This record gives sequence, structure tokens and C-alpha cells, in this order.
Amino acid sequence: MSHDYVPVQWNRKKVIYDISLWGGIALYIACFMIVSSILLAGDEALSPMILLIRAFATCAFLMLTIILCIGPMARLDERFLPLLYNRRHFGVSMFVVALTHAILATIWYHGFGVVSPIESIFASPGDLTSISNIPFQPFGAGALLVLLLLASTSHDFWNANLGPLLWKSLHMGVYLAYGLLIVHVAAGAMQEDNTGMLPLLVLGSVVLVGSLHLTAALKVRSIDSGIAAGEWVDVGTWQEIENDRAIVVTIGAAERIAVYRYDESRIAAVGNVCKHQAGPLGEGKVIDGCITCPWHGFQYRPEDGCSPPPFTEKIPTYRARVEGDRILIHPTPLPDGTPRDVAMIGGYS
Amino acid sequence: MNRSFFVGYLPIPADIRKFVIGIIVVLVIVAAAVAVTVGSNQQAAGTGNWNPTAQVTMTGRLVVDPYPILYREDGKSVVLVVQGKRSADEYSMPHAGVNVEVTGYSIKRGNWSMLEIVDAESIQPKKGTAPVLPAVEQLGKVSLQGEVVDSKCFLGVMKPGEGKVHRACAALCLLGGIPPMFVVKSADGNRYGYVMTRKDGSHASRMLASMVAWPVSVSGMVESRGDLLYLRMDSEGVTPLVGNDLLQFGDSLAASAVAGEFCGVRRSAKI
Repeated sequence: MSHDYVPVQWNRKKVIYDISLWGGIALYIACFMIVSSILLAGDEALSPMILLIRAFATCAFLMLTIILCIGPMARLDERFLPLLYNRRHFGVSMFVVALTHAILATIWYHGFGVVSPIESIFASPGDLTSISNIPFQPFGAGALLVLLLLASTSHDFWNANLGPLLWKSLHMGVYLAYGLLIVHVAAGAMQEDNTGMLPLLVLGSVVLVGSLHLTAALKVRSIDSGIAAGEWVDVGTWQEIENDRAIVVTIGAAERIAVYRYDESRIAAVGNVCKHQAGPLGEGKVIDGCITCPWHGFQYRPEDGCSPPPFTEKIPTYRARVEGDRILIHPTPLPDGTPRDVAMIGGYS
Repeated sequence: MNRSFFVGYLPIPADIRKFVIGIIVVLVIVAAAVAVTVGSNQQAAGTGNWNPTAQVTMTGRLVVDPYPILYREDGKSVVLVVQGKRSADEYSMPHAGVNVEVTGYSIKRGNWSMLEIVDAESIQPKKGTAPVLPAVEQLGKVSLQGEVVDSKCFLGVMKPGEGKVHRACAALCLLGGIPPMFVVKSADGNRYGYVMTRKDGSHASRMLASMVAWPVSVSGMVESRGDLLYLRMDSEGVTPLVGNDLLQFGDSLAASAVAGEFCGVRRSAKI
């Protein structure tokens, strides 16, 4: 399963996804502005520009929190996969919201002066001697640059040309951006907030993102553990594997292996990493006789690890055999797209 | 068991469609709830007011040293600034000491008044006798804790126009020559402002640009000129608060009893 490069491969699902997304963004900004304007009105009113700056800032932070939660939530419950399907649009939209915040803040706080706005951002008074002295603007600018890099390389063109592993590593930079934004808020707006609302928002985000990642990681690790390195390794019984589904195992320090059961009685082991965006193939499903990636539906034949024609992606395959109820895997990967015998479950009924 | 599985290019299974609709509803409610909660928990930023839509005209004697200030017949002092983050020095100099008519946008907070002019044409000579300048009255020496702010933003152009988030903007304003103010909170809970000058009474904007929006202490002489209080800093200028002074700063911006006394004497400096 692969495709030609067009700016966006629109389909009905993506249109609905983006309409819902931007509807949510508009709702957030409108709610923030209306409530702020009603509660602090007249002479007490805050500057409309400052309200906009705050609205876009908090909206972007909320969006980034949701983006970081989608991955582990989809891993814990695959019904969240539709949110992950178009996550790149969520990311680019979040960048646009963050960029709007940055532009407004730069104009308002750093413009109209005797030095250039950019110089003003990076020459903001302060030093690194304490959290109260740290200038917060450079951290925000750094986060925005990382998000710009991610947004501008989010297209499949970059994914294909950089390779899925490098592309994936690059896009792990979203955690760097998240960290920089937390410092940006902690060293800036949070220090002026006597209501406790911003610390609560940031802490809630960190706890939510952290706990979901930890829970998802523990789920995978529990499958990984207890398997020793060596030849023909027992990875469990075939009854543990739902038909058309897989378990994911790691043998020694090797790559993760997806062990699929399909056609009720066949066992095939392949590499767990999709060639598209390094998605977890072992969390997918066999559909129309092909292993189907849960992220974007890229497909591979269990018999040889090749995408069905005319597509050309290939993944490594592994030898497997069944002895009684036990499944044995040879942990040495065969070259991408190598056919080998599929193990049959003897006496299956 | 044959669980439903979502693939982007295939029809979405009915149970997953129902689940996703539920998630979208939850996310919309969460977005609205966060927006309302954060939006309704913002701190007030005082009663400063800036009206950039209607110009007003005032008449009085224009003084430029140390800062451009219009002294009106009714005893009111009006600080002059220019649009953007710049002082009105350039446009005021040709009219120093004479009776003028000034047109600009009004900025007000408490008893403080400011006028934001547009260009040189905003100040025109006015026939007639200029008001007599108020006498300078020495009120004594003080030691205060508070925050240096740029007067333009603090009086209403930006709300809030103080604190760390606003620090870079305030520094730009002072680099541009906007008059610096020292803001303290008195024991009576009110906040008072002082126009800051060097020890010799001269312009202190650029000197204070790197210390703006910090909790600081300062010592100097307080003097009144009409309805404004001036603080002539001692030669060491302002000093950042450290240790317990910094920790306690949020509770007592205020200052010594001496400062409270002066604040009480000059209610007109209240903001």
C-alpha cells in the first residue's frame, strides 16, 4: 500500500476530521474571548490583543496535549485510531495556532520600538541565575522553530525521502517542543498567575501525557518481557493470539517481531515496523489476506512481507514453527520481502 | 471474537463511528470548558483606560525637563508620549516652557493622565498666558520596594502593562524614552506611582530599561510638583530584591512607614 505525492489526499474522513478540528479551535477562541470580555468589562477590561494572545497560546497548548495523548490512547484502545489517522493535520493546525500566538505577541510586546522585534525577543531582560530571572521568550521561539520543522516535514514526501525511521526520529522532536513550551510557560505567564489556573493546566497536561505514555509502554513491555535470546525461541501458545491479530515480542536486543495468526491455523512472523511511518504492525489486523498497519492502512502479505502489487514496500520476515500449542520463532530476520514457509497449527479444529 | 478495526480508506465500522462521535463531543466539551475556565480566571489589571479612537485637545504650559508634561490651568499634569514605544521629547522641545494646545489620544489611570500624540502637528502654540508652574515641594527621603514600569503601558495602553510577561515591552518603552514610573503598594492597600528621575533630576528612562518589571528596592528623595510625585533616585539607582525581601514581595509591595506617610499626603498620585 503506497501512493503518489499530492499535497493532501483528501477524502471524506479527512474533511470531517479537519472541519471538526477547526470548529473546535474556533469554539475555543470564541469561548475564551467572550467569557474574558464579559467578566472583565469596562475600565477593568484587559487589552483585546492580550486576550487574543492568551487565547491562542492556551489553545495551542491544549491541542499539543491532545496530540501527545492520541498515540498512547490508540495503543491502549484501538477505537482511538480514527483520531490518529489524520494526526498530522492536527499537528499542522496546532502549529498554525501557535504561530498566530507568536505573531501577535511579537507585534504587541516586541514591535513599535527602537530595536527590531526579533532582537527584542532574544535580548529580553533576564539571566539564567533563577527561574524568576529566566527570559521566557527564547524558549517559546525555540519550540516554535521545532514545530515549524515538524509541520514543514510532515508530508509523505519527506517521510519517503528521509526514510521512516529518520522521519520518525525527527518527529519525536515534538517532545522537545513540549518541554520547551513548559519552560516557556513556567518562566513566563505562570509566574504572574495568582489564580493557580496556569500551574494547574500545565501540571494536568504533564500528568495526563506522562501517565498515558507510561501505561502504554508498560502494556508493550509486559509482552516483551520474559523472553530469552537464542535459537528458536518459544514465544507462547497459538491460542493466545486472536485470529487475524498478532502479539508483539522482542527477543534479546532484537527488533520487535509481530507474530500473526490468520486463516485460523496459520502463523507468520514479520518485523513490527511499517515502512510508511514506522507504525506498529503488530497492533494491526489481517484484512483481505494482508497485514494492515493500524495507522494508515499500509498492507503487507504475511507470506513474504511484500506489499501487494502495484505497491513496493517490503518488511523483514521471520521463520516460525508450531510444536503442539507452542509457537517458536527464529530471531534472525530474513531480508525484507523474503518468502518462507508459513507455520501451520497442527490438528487445529 | 472479531473486533472492529478502523482503516482510513475503508468504510468506518458502525461501532467505531459511534465511539468517535462520542469522543468528538467529549473533546468539544473539554475545549469549551478549558476556554471558559482559563478565560474566567484571569487577574484584573487595574482601571487604566486608553481610547485610541477619539482625540482630545488640552491647553497648558509644556515642560520638557526631565519629561514632556503639560501643566494645565486647572492644576492637572498630563504626561505626553508618542504613538508606539517612543517619547514625545522630539516634538515637545520646540515648545518648551510656552503655552500650547496639544491634541492626542487620552490615557488615564486613577489620578494620572497621559496624552498620546501623533506627530509634530499635534502640538501647536497657543496665544495667551501660560499657567504658572506648580512649586516644587521637597517631601523627604524614602526607601521603597516596588516595580519600575513604563508609564505608557501601565496607565492603560496595555492591560496588564506590568510584570514579567510585559518586561520586554516595558524595556523597549524605556529605551524609547517613555517616562519610568515606580509603583508601590501602600499599607492601606492602594497603589501609588512616582515619576522616576536620576539624582540630579534628569531623564532616567534608558538607565532603568534593564531593571524594569523586577521587584526592586530604591532609595531617594520624594518631591511633589503639582499633582505628581517625583522620586529622585540616589546615585546607586534601583537594586533587585533577593532572599526574604523577594519572597515577601508579593504580600507587601509596600514599603516603609515613611513611604506610606508620603503616599497618604499625596493622594493624587494614586493609581
